Amino acid sequence: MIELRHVTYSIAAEYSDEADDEHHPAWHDGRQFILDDVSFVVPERSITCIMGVSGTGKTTLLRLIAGLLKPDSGEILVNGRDVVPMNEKQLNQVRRDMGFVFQYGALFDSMSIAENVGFGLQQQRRPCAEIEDIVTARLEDVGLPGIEDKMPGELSGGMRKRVAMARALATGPRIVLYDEPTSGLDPVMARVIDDLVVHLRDTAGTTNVVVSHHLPSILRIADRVLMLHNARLQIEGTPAQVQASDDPVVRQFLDARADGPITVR
Amino acid sequence: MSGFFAFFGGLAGLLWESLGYIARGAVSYRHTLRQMAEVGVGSLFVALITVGFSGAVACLYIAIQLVKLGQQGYVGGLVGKSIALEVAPVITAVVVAARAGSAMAAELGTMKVTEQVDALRSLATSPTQYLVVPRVLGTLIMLPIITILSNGAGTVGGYIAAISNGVAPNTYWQSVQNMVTLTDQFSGLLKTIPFALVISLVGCRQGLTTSGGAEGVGQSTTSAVVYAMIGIFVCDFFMSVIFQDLFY
Repeated sequence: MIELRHVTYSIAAEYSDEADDEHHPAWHDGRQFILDDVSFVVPERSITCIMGVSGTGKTTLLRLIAGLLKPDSGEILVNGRDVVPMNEKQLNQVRRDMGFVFQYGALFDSMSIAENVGFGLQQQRRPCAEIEDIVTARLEDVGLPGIEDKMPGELSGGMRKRVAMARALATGPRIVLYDEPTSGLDPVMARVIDDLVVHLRDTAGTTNVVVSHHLPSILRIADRVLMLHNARLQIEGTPAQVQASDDPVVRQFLDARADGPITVR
Repeated sequence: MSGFFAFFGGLAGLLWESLGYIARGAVSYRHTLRQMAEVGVGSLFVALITVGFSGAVACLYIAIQLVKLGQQGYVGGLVGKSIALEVAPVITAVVVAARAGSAMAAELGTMKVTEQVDALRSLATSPTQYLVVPRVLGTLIMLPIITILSNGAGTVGGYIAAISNGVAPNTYWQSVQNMVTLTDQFSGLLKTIPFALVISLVGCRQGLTTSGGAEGVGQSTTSAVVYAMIGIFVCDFFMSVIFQDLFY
């Protein structure tokens, strides 16, 4: 289970019109608040999707959960342990049970696909034969069999993202964080990835946090949906509850309208 | 001022963390060997050429003056001493900083801006252990070796310049043997330890703190070379002062 309690994260503000607007909800005292007092729970063996327009702190939220960033204040409990005060060594213990699918893949350029996917297993000093079997199986899961010897530079953006997913899942983590796993994929492959996330929850019992813009995908796979807006949680509920919401911000996002309270800058 | 402290604090932190991994034996020998090849193969030829010609130029000026004074017996010794103590270690370090230090900053900087460093951390792997330690060890091992070889190239370069200016070959080598002591060679080699630390730590630190895409990588690469060169010359001065007190 993952639980965020009153998490606030801000960065030093650069000059902008927003910074001068003292009433703007995401700016205080010369700092831009990416997340402001955000609290929620991700139940075990569930899929929680986080949606919101670009720049609302969705990726930051994932990075905070993985301990890649430290919040200004608040607690982030992963399986009951607060990761905020942990040092890197303690964080690595938590991360061994966690997979992170980066938005642009973040594959290691100097390694082959097999080395990329097997990296986490190699670090755990698993036997070579076992690593090879797992790499082959994970690449088949993401629809990319037989590309073990290729280099990341030889793959398309969508293929790189699927390899990144195979890498994140190779160690069999109980928590998986996905940063826009289906963006840039064709509809068929997006469906394959969605089905894989659901399959992992159902068979391996993974706890999943998925950041996504892709509404059909969110509504299909999510057990719970959160929406971030102006550094705060705008809505939280089941896909049906979110779809039935009459909140103007949520409605504008779901109906994909340009006019409304969400201003495009 | 805060940037100044952040820079030295970052370097000290990287050094402390790296020494911790080395002391615990948490070192990837495969990656260290690869870094030794990167540093050695990439820099050796350039170092031999630059130190060889620097030795020749130094000898040219010394030989002309001393031959005029009839003191050609000192040419080999003076050239050999200056190459062993100063020219070979410093110029080799500058070459390695330009060639290998910049490559470290560029490679790690690219990894940083493409989230590969975060990917390492998310896979429960310390970037210091995986990326920095092999580079520090690779430079620490290879810089003295390249310095020894370039020291030889500089002395040979001096020999060619000396015999072209009227110094007898035997006189040159005899002078080198008589005047260049083991302490000189040892002092020169000892300088390569702080030089190697400066080159590798500055290159890695600048790479790992890169932000802002391709422009940021360019800035990190340039600053890694500039800061490393400043560090090399500052270290060289203080090491020379300390060695004068200790050995001479």
